[in-house]
Amino acid sequence: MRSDAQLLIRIADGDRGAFRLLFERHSDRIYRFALSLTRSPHLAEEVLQETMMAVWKGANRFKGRSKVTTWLLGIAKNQAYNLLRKEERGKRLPEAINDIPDPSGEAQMSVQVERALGTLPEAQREVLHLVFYENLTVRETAQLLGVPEGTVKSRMHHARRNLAKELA
Amino acid sequence: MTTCEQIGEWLPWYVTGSIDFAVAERIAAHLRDCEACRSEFVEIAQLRHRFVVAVGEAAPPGTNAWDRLIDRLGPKETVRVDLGSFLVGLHVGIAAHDRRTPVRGDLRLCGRSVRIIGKKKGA
Repeated sequence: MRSDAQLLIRIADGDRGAFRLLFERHSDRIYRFALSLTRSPHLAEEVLQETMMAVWKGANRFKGRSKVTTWLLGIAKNQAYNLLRKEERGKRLPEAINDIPDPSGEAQMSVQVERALGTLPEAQREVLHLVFYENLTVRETAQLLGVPEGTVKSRMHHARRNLAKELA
Repeated sequence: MTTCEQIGEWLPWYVTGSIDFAVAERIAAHLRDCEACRSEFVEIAQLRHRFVVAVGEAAPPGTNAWDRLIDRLGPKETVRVDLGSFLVGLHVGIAAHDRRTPVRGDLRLCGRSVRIIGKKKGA
């Protein structure tokens, strides 16, 4: 089985089969990360499209200094913020992902978390996702976000405190 | 790294296991003797569980995501000619699409490709 890095070399050469494989491996994680950032399925779909197009056009920019996963999430983060800024300029509010009437049980738990996440700043939502869901190390998270490791720890501290407070 | 504050900074990564073994060992030793940090560890683990469940429960991307993407890539090459090596070479591709036969050519130098014939890649 080809590694992600090997697939990127093939993609840089225009190999659509390799592109499809990379899409199948990572589309779900890119989409869920985008959903955590944008909180809109519509925007998350757009982030996925734009991220994969950026990969198709710029696969040769991957230099192996990070894991491919981290590189992809970094592109997704930039695309998500680009789209969010455009949405803000257009003053079009994204649809809420937690608009579920009278949820119960496990579903209710998730809705509560999503509502609580909605009160957090983007920078705190992204660090929660990268650490809790993607299991990135402090160093990987810092590299992806382009901030010092101390900032990652500080953001994570505030993010989990705020999330816990909202859920209490 | 011995104070509760310092330990607390690392606890989220201790919970996920994304941490150096040596640091994890120091945290484990601290947790054995510190009830307050043990309690914080449990809180973070529960919070993380709720977060992971919430993210995992969201519906996946639409089934047409790949089709949308492939539509944006344009026509696929039906003839490919590749000369040279990974470092220096020339690639020429001809595609068949809607009764058109677009041609593209890339010059490869030190592993980087530059389009010399046809539209820019991915455009």
